[in-house]
Amino acid sequence: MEIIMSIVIGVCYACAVFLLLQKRLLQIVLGIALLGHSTNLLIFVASGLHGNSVPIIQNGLKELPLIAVDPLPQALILTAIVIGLALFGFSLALAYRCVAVLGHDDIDQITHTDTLDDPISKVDSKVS
Amino acid sequence: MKSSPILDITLRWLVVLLGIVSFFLLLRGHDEPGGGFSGGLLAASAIIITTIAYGADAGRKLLHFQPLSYIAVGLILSVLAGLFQWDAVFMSSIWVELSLGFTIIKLGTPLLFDLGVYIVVLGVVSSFVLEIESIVKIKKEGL
Amino acid sequence: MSNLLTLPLLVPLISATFGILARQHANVQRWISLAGISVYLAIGFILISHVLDQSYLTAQVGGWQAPYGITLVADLLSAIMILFTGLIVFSVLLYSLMTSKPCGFSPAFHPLVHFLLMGASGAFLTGDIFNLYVCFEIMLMSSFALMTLEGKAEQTEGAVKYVVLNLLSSAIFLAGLGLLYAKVGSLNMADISVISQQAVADEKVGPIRLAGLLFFVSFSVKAGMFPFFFWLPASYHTPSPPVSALFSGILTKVGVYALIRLHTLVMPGEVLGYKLLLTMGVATMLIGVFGAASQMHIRRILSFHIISQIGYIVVGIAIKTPLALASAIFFIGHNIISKGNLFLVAGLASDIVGSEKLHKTGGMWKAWPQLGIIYLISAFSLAGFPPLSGFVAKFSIVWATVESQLWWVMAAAIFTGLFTLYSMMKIWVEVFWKDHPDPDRDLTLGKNSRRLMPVSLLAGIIIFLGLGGGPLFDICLRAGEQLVNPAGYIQAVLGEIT
Repeated sequence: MEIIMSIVIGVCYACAVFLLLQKRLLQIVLGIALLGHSTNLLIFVASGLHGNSVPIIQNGLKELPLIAVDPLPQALILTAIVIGLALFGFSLALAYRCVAVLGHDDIDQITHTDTLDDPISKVDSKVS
Repeated sequence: MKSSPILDITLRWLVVLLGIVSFFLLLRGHDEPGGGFSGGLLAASAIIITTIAYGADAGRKLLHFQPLSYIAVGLILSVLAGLFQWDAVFMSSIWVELSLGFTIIKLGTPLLFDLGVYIVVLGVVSSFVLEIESIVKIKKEGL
Repeated sequence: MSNLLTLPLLVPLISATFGILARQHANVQRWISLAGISVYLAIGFILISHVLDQSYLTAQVGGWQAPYGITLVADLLSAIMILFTGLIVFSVLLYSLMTSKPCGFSPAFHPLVHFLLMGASGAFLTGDIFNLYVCFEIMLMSSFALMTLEGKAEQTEGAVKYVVLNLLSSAIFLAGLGLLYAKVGSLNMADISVISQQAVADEKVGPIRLAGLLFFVSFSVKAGMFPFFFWLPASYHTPSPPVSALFSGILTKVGVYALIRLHTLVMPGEVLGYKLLLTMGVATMLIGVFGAASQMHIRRILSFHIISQIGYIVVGIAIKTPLALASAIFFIGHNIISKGNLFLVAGLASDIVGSEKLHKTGGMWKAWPQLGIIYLISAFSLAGFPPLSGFVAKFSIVWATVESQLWWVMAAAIFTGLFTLYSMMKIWVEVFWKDHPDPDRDLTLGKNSRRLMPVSLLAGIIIFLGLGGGPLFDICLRAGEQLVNPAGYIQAVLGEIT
């Protein structure tokens, strides 16, 4: 089971990287979201997929049954999902804002904050 | 915006139902699946459905206060839950058992914390949706 | 008493929350904000006095014992970082209260600054590595919003690069966390330290090293180290000057702080390559100053200098003797203050001369010599002139390299100092000394003269750090010794159990 999941995670990571390398901002935002989800899966699998009962000590027993799952990775994933939700919401809003302000979402054209200022020419670049 | 009678009737029941179920999730969340986050999401989905059906104004009306106020109030409640026992370390929990004759109700600071989370999530998600819906509406009217 | 450790998180949270509630009353919000940061600063002083007294303070949040619960720990490094963060945020808020730019009026500005402060203090105090991730995210989230607050075109552009690269690094951090947890089964940094020391002894360090390298890449992105720094100069000059000063003071320094913890506590010994860190530090120094030399925009020059200064700190971390770590810590403090002050002065000057492009500025020395002197104090401090704070910081770093007989690193450090001076003088000549290209330009300060107060406060701190260098450096030396011997830290966190 772990092996199948590892392959799935690998494919997810590959898709995320592919999306990150695209030209359009929306694809990059989706790539980041996918990257976050693949990482959540990674944490899930890293803790091992054994165990099939809730990690709560039943009435009358003194310790956890051996088949109980490790609850901590699930708590970590829950936290990461919540954070990922907020960040995904923000990135979508940013992509929208980018289209609204700049009129396009082509990464190759978003270079105005990287270019050197020409000390001689007195003409400002388009965005300044 | 004109809505269909089917949506209208269903929604009236659905919003009430979502509210009740979300509160149920909040209360059972301490040791069963559920909790403030999922309860808050469910409550927010009531706002989302209303917004989709009747527009952002109806969603705001259902929410009554501004989403940002929800976020602030929820945060204050959660912090208060941690501060209850000032002489112990932050976030130490206290439980009180109330006996109502036919049943026993356990109330504690984790519940207060969860209530805070519930309100924050409700505020955050509905502010996402309402803001986006308002932008879309402005765009439509602009065209 | 242990509640003292939760206060640096709670105070910003509470002031941010009340700031949100008071969002429609700008004046009330400002007073809340100022009161919040003053309390925070006071807590910073109390905290450092307690830590000087007792070496380590710990609090097990919620009463759950380490390593099962989340532990808050303050050693000298944490306390120093909190104090300097409080100082720079205090000055930035003071500056923004006295500015008439829209940033100071946006109802979101003050709550966001306090959330940023909360994330940063959480990162400094936590003893739990997953908690560190969460605090990073709180801080990043507020910084994203602060950067795009005015919604200008160039801010959106800068934010795209900043957001994408930082989210990428967060994902890498999280992946490293998952792998580390799978291997060691703990998230408490002290506990991880014990286990990885054992792994080093058993020579089974492979999986831990993999996780360590993922952390290392992620922290280097956040700290702006070569070759991961590209987001920094592309975005730091776009928000309003107070926000730039805040970012330069806090964000990259939290990345460096995490790197120190990683290198000294979580992955002790030679788990991270020492030569790798050293080479990257030197490359970061050199690339930063060369980048700055080619720029003709005030805040872009300063952004590149952030990178080169990070290089010095990383060299200090890499050498990892008590002296080198102490000088790295002193350097962080000095850099937070002088870099932040330079950004604030640059913002003030560009508001008056009307541009940040060097060929369009000038005449400030004649119009406002006070500002010129404050600029010179900060710039000379950055370049490392006595008796200012930068001299103590750079001298101690150079001394640490001499002690370890790393001559090439010493040469690079001195060369970088000279080039820093070149860039600082370029700004001085263009902005202050030469005449303004437009002779009719009105260079009066007007209401802006109030803003001289926070920048002179910071200049005063720079001089104080320089003149009081000896005793203050002794404190840093104690912090460095604490870092080199993590046994005390581990004892303080896990003491109740072992």
